[in-house]
Amino acid sequence: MNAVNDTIIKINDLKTYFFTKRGVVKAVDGISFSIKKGEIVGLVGESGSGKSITSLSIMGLVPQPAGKTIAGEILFNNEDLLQKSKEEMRQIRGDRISMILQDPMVALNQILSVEYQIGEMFRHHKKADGRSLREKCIDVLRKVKVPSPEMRIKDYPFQFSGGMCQRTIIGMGIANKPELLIADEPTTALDVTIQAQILQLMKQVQEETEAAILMITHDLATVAQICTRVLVMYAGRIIEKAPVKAFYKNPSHPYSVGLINSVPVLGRKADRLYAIEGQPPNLMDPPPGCRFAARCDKVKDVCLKSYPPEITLEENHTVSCWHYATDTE
Amino acid sequence: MNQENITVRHLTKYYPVTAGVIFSKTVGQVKAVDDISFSIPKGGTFGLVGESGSGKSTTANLMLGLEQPTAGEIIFSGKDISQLKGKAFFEFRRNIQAVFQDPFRSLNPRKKVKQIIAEPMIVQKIGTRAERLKRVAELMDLVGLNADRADQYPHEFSGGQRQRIAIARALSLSPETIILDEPVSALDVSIQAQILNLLIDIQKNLNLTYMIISHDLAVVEHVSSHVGVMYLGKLVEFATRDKLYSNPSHPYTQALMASVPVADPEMIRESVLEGEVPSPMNPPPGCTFNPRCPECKPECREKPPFGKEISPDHWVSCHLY
Amino acid sequence: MSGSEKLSISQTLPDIEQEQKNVQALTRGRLPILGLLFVGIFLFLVAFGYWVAPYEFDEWDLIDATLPPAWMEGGSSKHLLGTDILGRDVLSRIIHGSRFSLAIAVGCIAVYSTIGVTLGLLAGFLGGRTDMIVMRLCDLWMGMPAIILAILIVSILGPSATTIIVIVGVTGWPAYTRIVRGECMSISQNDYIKLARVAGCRNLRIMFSHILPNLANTIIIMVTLNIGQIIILTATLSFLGLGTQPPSPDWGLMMNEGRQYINYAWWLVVFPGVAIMMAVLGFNLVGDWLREVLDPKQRQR
Repeated sequence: MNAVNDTIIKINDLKTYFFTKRGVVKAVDGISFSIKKGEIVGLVGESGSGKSITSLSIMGLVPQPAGKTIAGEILFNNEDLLQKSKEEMRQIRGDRISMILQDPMVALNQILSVEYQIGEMFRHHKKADGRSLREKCIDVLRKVKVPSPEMRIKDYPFQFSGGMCQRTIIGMGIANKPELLIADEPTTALDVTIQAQILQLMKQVQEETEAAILMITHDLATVAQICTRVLVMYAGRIIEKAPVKAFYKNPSHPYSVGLINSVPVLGRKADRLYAIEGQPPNLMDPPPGCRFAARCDKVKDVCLKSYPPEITLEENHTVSCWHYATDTE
Repeated sequence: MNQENITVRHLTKYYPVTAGVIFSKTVGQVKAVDDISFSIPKGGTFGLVGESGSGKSTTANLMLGLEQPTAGEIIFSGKDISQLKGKAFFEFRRNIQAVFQDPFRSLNPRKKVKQIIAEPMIVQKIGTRAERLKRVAELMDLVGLNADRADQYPHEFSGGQRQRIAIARALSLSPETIILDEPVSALDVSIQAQILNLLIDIQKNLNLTYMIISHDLAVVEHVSSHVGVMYLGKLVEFATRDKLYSNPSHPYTQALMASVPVADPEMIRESVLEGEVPSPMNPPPGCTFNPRCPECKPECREKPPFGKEISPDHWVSCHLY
Repeated sequence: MSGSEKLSISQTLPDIEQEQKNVQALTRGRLPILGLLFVGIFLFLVAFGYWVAPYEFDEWDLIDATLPPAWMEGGSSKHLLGTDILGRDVLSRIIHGSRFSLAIAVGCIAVYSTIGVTLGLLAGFLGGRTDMIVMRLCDLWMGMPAIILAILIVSILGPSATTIIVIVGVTGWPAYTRIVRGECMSISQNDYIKLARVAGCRNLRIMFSHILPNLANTIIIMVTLNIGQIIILTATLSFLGLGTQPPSPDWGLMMNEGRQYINYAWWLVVFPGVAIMMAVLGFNLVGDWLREVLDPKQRQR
């Protein structure tokens, strides 16, 4: 299942729930997907879709005690991450699977020098120490195109701009050459011109290290720019999977269509934006059928009763929608 | 020439930078807004675009009267508001209201929705209690909220609904102008569209003038009639929407347009601009954009450019013209 | 959480319910039963003590003087906790004393929360020179040794319950001011304050109509946690003779009066002490619980 077709990570029916006073929040309610070596997969969804919890589940960082991954498997190179002990996960995090987060200014500790923090990546995984450590840290900054890395290595994060902080974090993420890099909204907090730089950097970095990237975002434009494949998440489930070009040319799930049409596009003038009416369902008590049914303009009877199966439209393009089911009722 | 419009001339706001622990003295200035001028016709929408440090939020604060300009004039319907004081200033407030970015921090969590929407009327002593309640119900209807929920508290509403409450409050004094500072940036994509549509509808029905500040070029293109681009306190380009988007003339505007990621995988954007946005404390000499400008000439490093009208309704501040 | 078996929904439900119970047991804000019990008794005595107490607080009876508690040899069921040297019933005095303690505590809190909150609001909201002046005043005040101030005030006003209120009120406000100032500054950052100004709202209205209600939680917590401190402070001052005067049944005063007889009439000191401890513990437990219950909710919204 692995070395032959170079699938790095395969997730089967993952379920992560939050147990609160008011009820059980089914944040991630049965998702399955896989990522191959060298792919940049975009996991798209709005707030409450469960996309961030998915990444935390993979990393084993789901907030406890309320959150718990209760079912499924996360097969990383043939080993189920959900079966690993805390210590084993600690070894994997930062080394074989890395993560970068949204706000670069708070991701770095303001009172520790940049060198110390980059060095932590190496020290913790016993990859280097002493003099060679400093060289490695400078090398990291060089790889992410921070100007004058030998000088900046001694700086503190508050002396770096937002863009440079994010570059540093990307550098830390790839320092140990991980097989999988998870990026959670990496450009949302940055200015537009810096966003473009960072996206370009991520593409370069990916080409050089051959890492696979799981990019989590709500921004369809970012996904179009660097991802090779798209997964759309809604109310805890994945409702469409497609290669990126096929997705934008032929979005299939009504939610995907609605999403693409509701974003104003540069150069394309429209009188009114298409707005998806209503709100996402309550995850403590999701409806029995398709979770988008209440807001869908193509809704049928069957949509309200049972959850649609995953239907293959063309190569690698699947959608969970009754609208595309031809032989079932 | 439409008499009822907003004109800003040579608007400037400098913040002093002090040093010294015991006896602090002014050692420099942060030129947050540096001599900008523009004009908005009544019923139009002025989109102000810029990145962090550009001064767009400071401009909004100045126009709302939250801060005093260091120099320049802000003229609403013939009156320079920077000169108004006391009662006149208090009454002027009825003409211009605002909607801000964060729906969670724009509403007082301890007040009921009806108190929040009625607050501007209470402060300005408009109407009796009964009249105000009636108006609150009208406004909630207008923004698409169920008027029965007037007795609820903000935390019982979603982000998009809270922004609607904020819009209802902004409308309660029947202002002529509303300033919107990133009104949809903090909302989910599908809710953004709802709110943008609502804003456009209200503008048509009530003949409002909008000034919308955003970093999102596509949103600005969608709603604006006129657009201004700010960089480090300066207005580098100002034009009608169509002219700016079809013929961006300032190198910074061109770079912005080229950097914006587009939801189309066939149009891959290359990053055009090197370097960082400089800090407003130490702007480069001459044209503030010169270190990053691909078209930089020696002249650009020496003296700052003037605004020139390169075609009717299209102003650029650049040595190339 | 197993590896290869596929779990169906019906299999996982019992697991889920068990999880839910486990987590609820851990994270539910546990009601401070003991705290509420003590506070409840305290407040009950304050309200109904006058009718519940078997005797008046100054009803003396030299025949039954210095009786030990009822369960000891020589004790009598007429006086459950014994009597002092004037024959006054200890139990009744403790009950009546609760009203004194509360009255004084309320008085103190009224004084220094008014001063403290007002100054904190002004400093936090207006900032600039007002802030600087208030903060320096705070520093000055906290630098002054409270005991000396207390003695000074006593020498001017003479020892009495009112004096205690003045002393505590006048020395205690800096703590409130600092906390309120901090909260106020963070509340002022919210956009709704900006928008109030845009509507033409003046500073006074913003402070009292917009900011103060949002400070309510902080103030409630501070006050509740403070009551315990004040009770002890009151008792200390009375014990030192600087506060309430005989024949008031103030608990601290009772301990002071009983001090000299401690060798053979220990109950005169111990029972008032226990009363103080129960009241203070009760308020502290309730205050801690309030802090847990009130604060996180605020942040979530």
